[in-house]
Amino acid sequence: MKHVVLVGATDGIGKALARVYLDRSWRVALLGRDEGKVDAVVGELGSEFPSETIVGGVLDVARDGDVVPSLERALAALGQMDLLVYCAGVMEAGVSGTRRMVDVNFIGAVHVLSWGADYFVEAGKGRLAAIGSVAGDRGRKGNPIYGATKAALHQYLEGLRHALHGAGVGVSVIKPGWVRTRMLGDVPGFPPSIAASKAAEIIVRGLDRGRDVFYVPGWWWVVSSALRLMPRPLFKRIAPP
Amino acid sequence: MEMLTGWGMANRARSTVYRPLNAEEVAASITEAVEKGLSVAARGGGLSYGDAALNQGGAVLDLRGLNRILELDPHRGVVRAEAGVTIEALWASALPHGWWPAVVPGTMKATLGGCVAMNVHGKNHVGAGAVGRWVQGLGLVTGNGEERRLDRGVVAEDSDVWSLGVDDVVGAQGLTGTITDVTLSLRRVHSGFLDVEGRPTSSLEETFEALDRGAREADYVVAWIDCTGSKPGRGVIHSAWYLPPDHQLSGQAMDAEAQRLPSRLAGVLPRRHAWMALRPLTNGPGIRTLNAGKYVTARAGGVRRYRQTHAAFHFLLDYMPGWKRAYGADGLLQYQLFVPGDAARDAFAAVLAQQRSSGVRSFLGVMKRHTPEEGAAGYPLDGYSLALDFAVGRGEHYVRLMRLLRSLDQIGRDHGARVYAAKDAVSVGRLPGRRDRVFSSNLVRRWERGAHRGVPGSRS
Ligand SMILES: Cc1cc2nc3c(=O)[nH]c(=O)nc-3n(C[C@H](O)[C@H](O)[C@H](O)COP(=O)(O)OP(=O)(O)OC[C@H]3O[C@@H](n4cnc5c(N)ncnc54)[C@H](O)[C@@H]3O)c2cc1C
Ligand SMILES: NC(=O)c1ccc[n+]([C@@H]2O[C@H](COP(=O)([O-])OP(=O)(O)OC[C@H]3O[C@@H](n4cnc5c(N)ncnc54)[C@H](OP(=O)(O)O)[C@@H]3O)[C@@H](O)[C@H]2O)c1
Repeated sequence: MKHVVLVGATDGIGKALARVYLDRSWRVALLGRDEGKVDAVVGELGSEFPSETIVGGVLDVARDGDVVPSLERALAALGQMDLLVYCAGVMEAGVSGTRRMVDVNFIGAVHVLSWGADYFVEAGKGRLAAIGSVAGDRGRKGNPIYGATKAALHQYLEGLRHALHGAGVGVSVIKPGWVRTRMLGDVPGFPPSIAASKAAEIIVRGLDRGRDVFYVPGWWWVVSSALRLMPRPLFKRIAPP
Repeated sequence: MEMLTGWGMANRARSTVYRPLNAEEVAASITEAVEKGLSVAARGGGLSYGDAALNQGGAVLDLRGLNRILELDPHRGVVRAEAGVTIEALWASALPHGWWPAVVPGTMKATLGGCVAMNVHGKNHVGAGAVGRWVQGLGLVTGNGEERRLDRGVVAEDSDVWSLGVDDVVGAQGLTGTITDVTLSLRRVHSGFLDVEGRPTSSLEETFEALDRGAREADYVVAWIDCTGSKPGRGVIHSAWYLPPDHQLSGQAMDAEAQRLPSRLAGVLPRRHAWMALRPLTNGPGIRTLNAGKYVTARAGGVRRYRQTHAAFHFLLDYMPGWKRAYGADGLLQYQLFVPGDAARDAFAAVLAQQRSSGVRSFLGVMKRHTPEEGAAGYPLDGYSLALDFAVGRGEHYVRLMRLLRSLDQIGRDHGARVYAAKDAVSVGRLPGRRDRVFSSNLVRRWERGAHRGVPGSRS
């Protein structure tokens, strides 16, 4: 039986992932920072999928000391883990949000994924994944700090992948473009954006196939590659958001 | 912390593992675990298919170190042995004296403690009962670290409601205490050989009838059934009989060496690698070919009669180490349902039909006849069991398999089916009524959650 631990999954893409995995009869542990919200989401998904297993857990990834005990508790309730997906992320405007973004988008991810790596290495199998962003592929003017935290996350995951390769443990970097969640704000009609449920389906497929790095949806690979290859003087002039 | 797996390789858990060597160390381990706030699960050979001998985040007592045969009475055929003694070690020491364990599961790597804790049955469930009927007494360490002796027929002096009897331990999955030793009656045998008959059946109905006949007339009976062909339920019935004392093979093959199978199956393939030959057969067309092939061979040969050693008849799979790896890296599960006699025909026909239309193939189908038992095990009833093995797989295969198993659970619920903890990884069965909260396991937590949701027998 397949078991997935979703961290930071009380909203947006994480919650949509929980729904897809339950629909595919995976057993799900869903962790989030707000106890009330965790209970509400677990209740909601539990009644949507009455014959599937979902357990909740409270974890604020910015509180280093809570990470391991909280994950251990969730794991004891779930039984085991075949996949760990780090979904937590924040995007804040301005310099004042720097610490918060570094804490949630990067440091929290390191603590959660290190714990997961430890477990999977002992199991000799398993997969770690985290949601990065196309915003981390190249410095962008819109939110340089957010982009930097995602770039750090990408680089960390790449190193982790190489470290765990011999142990039979896979590491996936998921790079969404624009997904209509709270984070993107109220731009429902925004042309190239997709619904969180659609993003979740694409993510589950990519993880099922064991892909190391993939974009959501796939065509963002073209955009991102073009941006990555663009010579600096040109990039300066075009300056995509 | 150490990672342990279920026998099917699809379940695992990380636990603090204790390896006690005697009853005192069992007591000390339990006490220490409780002080650390850990729940405790016992573990014997770890041959339960799913998550019964796993305890994520808690303590596991690996009891294989309690491996001494303490006393064997060659006249009365009674043995007292520590809980970690394997069925293999047990028969190997009993057979030279003319005794055989009356009840053995399909693997001899199981321990005595694990067999009693699950109340295992053999291919002679109706005639011999489950293993608990042969247990005369046992040593137990309870959750408070107390060592107890329980004996059949001896009523505890204190009429205290918490006094435990043997049947509160038999089939209780270790939830009333950890078994440290077992006193077991054995069965007299006169030869190391059994008379075996393989007889093909042409329909599910015939298979049922042949199982009933076998349960009445033979010492052992089991049905292998074709799950895939045009007539699901046809198969081969294997029956076996002990040899009488005056038989010409009386006294033959009465030692472990003579019982063992040759190390090369069919003389060519080294046993260790035999599973590789099975691998191409675990996909759809391969399974069909194998099943049809097996059936045709049996049919063409009609009734086959031959002699087999006890070990070869009971433990064939043990002689092909690694065969389960043919199921791939994601492991296997066994879906076994126990259905009351009057409902079983309908239920199994529905199960086989469902399985055929699901796009997920079972590699092996096994049917047995059963009978009710004393003790705490939730599975025994007057009826039949059907066991299907599946590769767990991944991706779409996994999703289809889970959908299939959910529909099989529904068929089970509609027909009053029971679940066997020793095999289970996906359903919800009955937990023992009496239990000490110190003890738990992945399976126990999973079943509790299922019961809590008010869906007994549902998937979890
Ligand atoms: C190939 C194969 C064929 C099989 N065929 C059959 C069959 O024909 N009939 C049948 O009934 N079963 C069968 N089984 C299942 C097997 O017999 C049971 O799972 C049995 O319990 C395994 O014994 P074990 O020592 O490995 O126990 P484990 O799997 O380690 O543990 C089983 C349970 O017993 C508990 N336990 C273990 N030791 C103790 C102890 N000393 N005190 C208290 N609790 C304890 C554990 O906590 C767990 O709940 C088969 C399994 C395999 C792999
Ligand atoms: N939306 C996009 O267009 C887009 C694009 C690229 C990448 N991403 C990335 O995708 C991931 C998911 O974002 P989303 O779009 O789903 O946004 P979202 O709806 O805002 O969800 C973010 C989730 O992270 C959780 N979270 C925040 N801080 C946390 C903390 N300290 N501890 C635990 N959980 C915390 C939130 O919890 P609460 O529910 O309690 O708030 C929420 O569940 C993020 O990493 C984001 O950067 C999104």
